[in-house]
Amino acid sequence: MRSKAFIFTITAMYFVMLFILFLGLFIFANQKQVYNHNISLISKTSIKYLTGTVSDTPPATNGWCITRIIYDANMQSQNQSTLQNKTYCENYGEQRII
Amino acid sequence: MENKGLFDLMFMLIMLLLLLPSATNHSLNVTSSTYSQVNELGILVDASIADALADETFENCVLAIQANYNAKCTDYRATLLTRFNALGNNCAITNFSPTLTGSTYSGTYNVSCQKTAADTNSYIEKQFTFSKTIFVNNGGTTCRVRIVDSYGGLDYNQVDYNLSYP
Repeated sequence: MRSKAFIFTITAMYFVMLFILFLGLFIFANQKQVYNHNISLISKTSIKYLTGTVSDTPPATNGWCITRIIYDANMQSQNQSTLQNKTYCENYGEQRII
Repeated sequence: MENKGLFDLMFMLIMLLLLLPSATNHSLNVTSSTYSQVNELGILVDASIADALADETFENCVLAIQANYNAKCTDYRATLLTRFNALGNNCAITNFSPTLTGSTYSGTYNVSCQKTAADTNSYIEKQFTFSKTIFVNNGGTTCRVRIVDSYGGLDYNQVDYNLSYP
């Protein structure tokens, strides 16, 4: 027959262990960089996008977007050329753990 | 024992609740680094100068005076900066000092950007130089305007249009 103190200690340690486990998991999931590539805004796709061969990408549901201004000074107009916003989005893909 | 099970359940539920944000979708609008922002805005300002020179020249289809070019450049630059900062950037254009010598409009301007991300605060300021030559040809019913970027000896037509005039 174990003493009550022993059972209490083991139970307490069990909960502390559980807490640390979940805390670790929480930090891993929330604080870790979810996109494990080095985020370079000048990726191969974005270069194509900036040079105009790729048009606006669809909005990211699970990713990041960046908007740039396209200024064509040679627009055939006698007023200021249209400042066009062009948005590039990239999904995180399957990089997340959950 | 029943109480212990209940505590366990509550414990699990709270932890799952804490983990829930990581399982949901996240969409984020980012801004580029201050280094990229400065370069990007610097090039955009250069384009706005060429645009302003062309439009001011086209108004009377003759070479205008420097004050008119300066005013047009200031106007276009202000619109550009407002739109650029509306994207989440925090930049400024300062010390715009142009000179009109003959038909060459040249000078410098400074572009600075500041960004705070988490505990990192970055600020970069760069000076840009430009030199643009204005060509105008009144063809009677049309007006051809050409702005040639002549900085560094690499001449290229930044603006070239031939619109009906007047």
